[in-house]
Amino acid sequence: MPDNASGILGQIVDGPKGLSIRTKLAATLAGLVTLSLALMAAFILYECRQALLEEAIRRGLTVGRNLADYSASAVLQKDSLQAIQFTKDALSDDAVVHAVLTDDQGVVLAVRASSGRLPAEFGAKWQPLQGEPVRAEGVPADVQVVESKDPDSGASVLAFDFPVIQAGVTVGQAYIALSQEKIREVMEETTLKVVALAAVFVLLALISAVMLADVIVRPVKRLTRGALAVGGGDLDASVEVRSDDELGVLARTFNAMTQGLKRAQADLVEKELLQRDLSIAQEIQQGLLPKKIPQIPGYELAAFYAPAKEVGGDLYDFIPIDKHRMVVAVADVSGKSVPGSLGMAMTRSVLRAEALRQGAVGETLSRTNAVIQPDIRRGMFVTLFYAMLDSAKHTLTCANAGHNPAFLARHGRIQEIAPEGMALGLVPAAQFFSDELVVEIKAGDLVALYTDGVTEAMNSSREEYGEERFKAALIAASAKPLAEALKHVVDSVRAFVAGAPPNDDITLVLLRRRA
Amino acid sequence: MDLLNIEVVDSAQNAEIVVFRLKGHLDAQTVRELEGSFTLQLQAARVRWIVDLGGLDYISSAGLGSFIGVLAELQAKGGNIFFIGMTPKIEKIFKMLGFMRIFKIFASEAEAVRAFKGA
Repeated sequence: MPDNASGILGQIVDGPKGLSIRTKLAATLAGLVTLSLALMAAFILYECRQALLEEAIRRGLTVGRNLADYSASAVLQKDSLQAIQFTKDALSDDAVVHAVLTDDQGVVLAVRASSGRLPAEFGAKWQPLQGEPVRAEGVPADVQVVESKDPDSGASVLAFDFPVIQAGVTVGQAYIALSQEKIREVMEETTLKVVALAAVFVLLALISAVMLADVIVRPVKRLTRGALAVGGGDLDASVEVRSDDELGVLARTFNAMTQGLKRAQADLVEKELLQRDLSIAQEIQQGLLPKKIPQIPGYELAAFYAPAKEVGGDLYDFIPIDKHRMVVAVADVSGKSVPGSLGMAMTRSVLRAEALRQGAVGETLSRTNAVIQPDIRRGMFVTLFYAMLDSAKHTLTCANAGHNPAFLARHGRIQEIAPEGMALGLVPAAQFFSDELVVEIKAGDLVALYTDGVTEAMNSSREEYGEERFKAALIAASAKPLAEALKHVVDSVRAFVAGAPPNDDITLVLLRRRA
Repeated sequence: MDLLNIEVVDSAQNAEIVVFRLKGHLDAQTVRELEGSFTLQLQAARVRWIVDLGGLDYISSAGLGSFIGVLAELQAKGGNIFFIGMTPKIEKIFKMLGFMRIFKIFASEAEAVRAFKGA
């Protein structure tokens, strides 16, 4: 593995550098739960305090109203003894801290306090308790209520100020102070309970956040391990799919991706191997073809070869025998790629050696078959058209090892040259058979040797170029200079296939006796 | 992608004889499948084969080579390949290559089965 890749993988193995999903989720959930609980608690506590306050005000109003009403005549007569009795009665409510009655000048007529320490003396001017006015429903306009402090104990109290009215005239004031200690105690208790309950909820939220994070994080960790394995080259790695949710889909997608990668890699390897084989085969093939066209007095030669994408294993060769004689051969091997090219290389060497032994043409093929057949790969065979030109006698002696017939164009007609014979490599020497045929070549005659890549060239509709089109092209080309004639025939094939990729090599050799 | 369909059945007339019915495209790629089928039959020691070429729309030289490749072994074990379902095009190729001197060709499966009995 390259260094940078292992570096990246190393970082992933270390785990996340920032906050983990678990922490983020836990913090977010806990924060949200705490915030909402705090808001709820504040609301509950506020409502609770309001209810308690209203209750206290109602109590104070009742006690104060009674004190003012019952003491009216005593206050009018400034009868302190009787007035004290009323303030005592007011103190019978244990929330009342003190009760005071004054005359219309604010002079204290009666005063009583639950602590026993009087907030004012008889005959003195009463200083009403100052504080924040309280507005609540049910408080009459002539009554004042303030939140204040008990000057004796310093505890917070609700101070009420009632007019004392006798026969429609205000004759004095009644003051009472109501302890708020009860309210404070209840509120403290309630707050404690609410906070404790909220703490339990926050804890539960934290625990469920961590568990929820685990549910999400566990499959993510499995995916991470899988991705690490794949990154390390193990394309057989897969991730267990345990759910049908989005993470399950992700795991399934991951597995599909891994399999896709594996297939793609296998395809790539196969393709590269095939490509390498093809380039080797092409190299061998190119090495076998003649480097130049030989000169023959009174004759012209031209050759065309186009390999298919998968090298089909065509070959043409020119073998000079002596001053006047020259062999022209065109061959096609049944195997493709490297084995086909090697089979063809072997055939070419043996054929060249046998050709120079100067036996009969048919015998050359028999001897070639006898040498190559035991060695050629099982199932592989070579078809070959073998033509020996004698430029002095103007004859073409032909033998055919299972190959397409040669065509002779003369005076606008095509004559097939088709000696019988079996393909090379099919059968042992004893069963092999190859005929030979001698054709006289006249001035202007054009002979075409080719492979089936020409006649079986296909267009995109899967129609074959065929012998008839080929013959017609040869006739049309027969009067042209040889290079042009070759181009004319090749163009005719190309125009027919119209760009469809060739499925076999195309080989064409033209020989003409000068006019 | 051109495909080759290979149907391997026991001959209705003689269960010792294997019939290969080929359909489609027999070329350098698809011939590997056919060679696989051949190997299976050889491993089962079944060596009397009838090959029906009637369904082929294309046969390449590599495809033809597969029959040559297996023939010697079949004959050594007392078997053979007989062809049926020849189309004019395939017959022309057989004649050109010299396959007619190597393989026997019959008009029908029944005739080929009879020829195995006589052998």
